[in-house]
Amino acid sequence: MVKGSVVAGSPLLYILIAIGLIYVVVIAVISARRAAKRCRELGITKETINNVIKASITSAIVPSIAVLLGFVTLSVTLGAAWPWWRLSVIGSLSYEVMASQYTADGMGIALSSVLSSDANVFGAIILVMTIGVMIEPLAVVILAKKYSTGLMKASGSSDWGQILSGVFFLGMFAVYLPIMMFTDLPTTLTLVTSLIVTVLCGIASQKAAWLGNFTMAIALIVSMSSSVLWVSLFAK
Amino acid sequence: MAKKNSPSSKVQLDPYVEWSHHFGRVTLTTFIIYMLLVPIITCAVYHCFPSISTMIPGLVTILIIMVPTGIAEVGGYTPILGSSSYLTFATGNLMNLKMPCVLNAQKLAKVDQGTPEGDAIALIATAVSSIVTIVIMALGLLLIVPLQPLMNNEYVATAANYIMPALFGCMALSLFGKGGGKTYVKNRLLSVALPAVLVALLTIFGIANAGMASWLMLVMIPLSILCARILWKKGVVRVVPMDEVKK
Repeated sequence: MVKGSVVAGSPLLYILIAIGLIYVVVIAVISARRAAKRCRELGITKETINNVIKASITSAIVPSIAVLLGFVTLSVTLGAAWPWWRLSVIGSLSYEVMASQYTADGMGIALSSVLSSDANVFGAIILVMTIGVMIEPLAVVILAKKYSTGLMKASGSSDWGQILSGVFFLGMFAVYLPIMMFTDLPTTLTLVTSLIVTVLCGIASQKAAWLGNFTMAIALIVSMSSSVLWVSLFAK
Repeated sequence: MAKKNSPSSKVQLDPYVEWSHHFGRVTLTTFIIYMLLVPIITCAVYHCFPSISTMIPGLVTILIIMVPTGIAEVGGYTPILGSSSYLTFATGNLMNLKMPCVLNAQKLAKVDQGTPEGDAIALIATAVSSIVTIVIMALGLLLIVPLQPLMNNEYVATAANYIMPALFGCMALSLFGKGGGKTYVKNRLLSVALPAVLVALLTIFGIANAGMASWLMLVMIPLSILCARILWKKGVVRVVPMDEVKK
């Protein structure tokens, strides 16, 4: 019997994953270069583009570290390779845990013993995770062009189109913000701390423009750190 | 600073938009196929293909959850992400990383969503943030042993649990911005007042929680569109020139 740990830590899996990640990086580089060229054609200055790149780097670091935390958690049950793949690209910790848990349950195996069980269990988990997550990218391939360009045209051609294109963004906030405001006090206070730090950075960046590129990173670090205090004071 | 182009000044599908959608479709389709090949090749080489019957219970449960979630996320976020949707949905971490980075970048460049400028800026932000995540995860893989004590630290774990409110605190200011175009949608927040109150009530009464956000969007976005339509017809929500707003 081949154990799950043998497959989970196999060089083949690492190589396949590395090829996939290199492919995504190449797509990202080509996309960014082409989009930057388009920005310049549209009159956006090189300085603004550079600021967007710097801000995107600094803004992505803190959330990526949170993803890394999920990777460490998941690697205990599935080995390092598969969580590395899934959390680097398409997955999210909650989905991966859920998918692996349901599949292991369906096979009558505890998630904690996947690596020590027959490799078929690990095989089932990686297949279910992959098939289950394909709905969204498939829908994007089929629908995104018609949907987003249709809205872009509507946005530019009529008042209602412009209003409609903004409603999706507002609707997202109408769902997430009330949930965060009224779930528990530490969540609310973390959100408010982040908002206050963002406002303060905005004011400070009027005198020190460079700060604008780091506003999100600073707000994330301060507010996430503050959550430790809010939890210790107010968590039930 | 960006030129303040009106969203209405460029409405035709230009070669860039055509290119970005074509490139996105081709690369995402290839990625989906490759993504499927990774477990298939692995299982084939190690002779560990599971029987279909053992996969069915887990797969059915996951699909029951993922189909409505997927519809809600693609329907709700694609208009904001534009042509960067392809890369975003290939690289994941939508709400906890890509969306905040895109909104932050658009705010910084003073461009609006749904415009050619906003679309190009979104793609830069998505591409850069995707590379950052891949690099950090690769470093994490290399340093997994020395990192484990830090990652298992109680305070780090607590802070990581609160990343979503921290991100939404940063993004909430975008609600009150007027964008970079020549026009502005006056009273636009009224469009989502009813959905926001409904979600607040559902949360207060313990019915809604963060795990239900995608399901709620399936209902609340159509409701928001309906409210916006009624308020626009009544002249409450309307598009006004930015000059008028400044006065």
